[in-house]
Amino acid sequence: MSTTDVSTSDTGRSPDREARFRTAYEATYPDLLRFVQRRVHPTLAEDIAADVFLVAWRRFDDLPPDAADARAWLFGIAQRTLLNGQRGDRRRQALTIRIADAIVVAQGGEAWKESGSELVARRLDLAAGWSRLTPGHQETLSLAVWDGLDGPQAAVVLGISPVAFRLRLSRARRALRRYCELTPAQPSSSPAALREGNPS
Amino acid sequence: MTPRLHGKDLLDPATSDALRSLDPANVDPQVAAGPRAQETLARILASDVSEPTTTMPVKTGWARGPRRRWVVAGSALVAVGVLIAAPSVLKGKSAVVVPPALGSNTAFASWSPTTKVITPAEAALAGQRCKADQLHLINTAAARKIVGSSQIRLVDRRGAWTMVYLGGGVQPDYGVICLNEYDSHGALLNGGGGGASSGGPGIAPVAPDTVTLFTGVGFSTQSGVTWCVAGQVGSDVVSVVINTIEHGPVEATIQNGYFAAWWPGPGPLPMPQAVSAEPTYTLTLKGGTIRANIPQDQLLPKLR
Repeated sequence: MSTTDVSTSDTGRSPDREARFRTAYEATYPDLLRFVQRRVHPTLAEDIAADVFLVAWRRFDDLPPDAADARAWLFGIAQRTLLNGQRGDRRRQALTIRIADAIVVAQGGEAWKESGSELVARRLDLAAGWSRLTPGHQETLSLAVWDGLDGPQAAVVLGISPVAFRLRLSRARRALRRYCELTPAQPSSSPAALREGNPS
Repeated sequence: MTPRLHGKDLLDPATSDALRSLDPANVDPQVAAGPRAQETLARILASDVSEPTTTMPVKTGWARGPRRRWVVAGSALVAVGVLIAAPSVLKGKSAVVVPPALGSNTAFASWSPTTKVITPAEAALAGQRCKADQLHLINTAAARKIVGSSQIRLVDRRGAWTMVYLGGGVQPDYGVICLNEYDSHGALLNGGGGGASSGGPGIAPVAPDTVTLFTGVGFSTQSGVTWCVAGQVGSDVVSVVINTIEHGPVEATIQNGYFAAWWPGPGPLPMPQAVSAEPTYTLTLKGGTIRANIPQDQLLPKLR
């Protein structure tokens, strides 16, 4: 192998590597953008996604060949990138995750026509209950429900064991149920129907 | 993609479906083929891969200076402000007294229990920014209609932070509170917004000698929780003071028939423990009558 060849390989610029990375990028970009959007203001999400893929390109040799595993691996990079963005002693081990505004979601869809229906009430319950969860619980549920990761994949994102993730998921599920029970949705005519939510 | 719940279903199917529908992320599935994503990809492929991966690239979201530290910087509000147990706080179901010594909310060092005077132009600008932030977060046709038609109820500045209470419009019970920090040139440093309430057609009009509390919101910040309250004032009410656990009396702003105030809560705590004790309210009426220490739950909306 010539010196030039070694250099080309070292810098990861071979056409094959580029093609594989391009495939992974295009397959994963929308999901990664969603992952980031839930954790930061949407105007920042594209910049952060770019950071994540740049790190992934530089660590291309570590990119799992399986698409689902690669996706989880990229989420893990995003998670650490976001946590590292929190400075100094304010760094935390979990990120607060937004939930959509139950009212706006309902009005934007067919469900609004059934105002007061079980679905709308359930969404209001969930939005209120979600806001009471710890960031760790939000993170766990978000990975399972919104990102659709299985236990081992979610564990990769968080850098913990699959067993530990399962435990967290169980606790998070219980907490969400408990908080939903504590904050029952009220019909709009109720005096206590303070419509909380997050128009996000 | 279709979420894959593992093992036993995560939650019951109806709840899982409802939760999926509340995913705040809004991304075009074809976004990767778009010009911005392709431009990013080209830039990445052209980058020098020999640079250490532990160094953040120059063009990161929060490395561009204070304007871009909206969410992720240390003192920023997290995301759009997390609503914490407002129903419970307002209804007194699970109020927990938090000893003040547990921590301080350092993000709001410039906060004061009285408000600062701001010009109408500053208030209008703050309101526009609050609306723009909401539309950034969910920019659907329905949201544009609701947010776009809402009005600025009031603006309340304490130290470097400004709270905006928007509400009304085509969706009468829509409301939102934004809490933002600006630099001396008016550039946004940190902030966020969260859901609120504005009452609605089923709510009785506020009596002249009282206030109706529509909203109690807790914003989760990196250094603690910040509480916001907002509502409508009766025609005889000239002053609203909220007697808080954390800071004693906090004078609310009254504008356009509405009142609102905010105050930093305790330092970081697990959410259940971070739920503050309910404050009481002291109202001053025209003629000097003072209604002191009214429990918060007496000020909740009443049915027509």
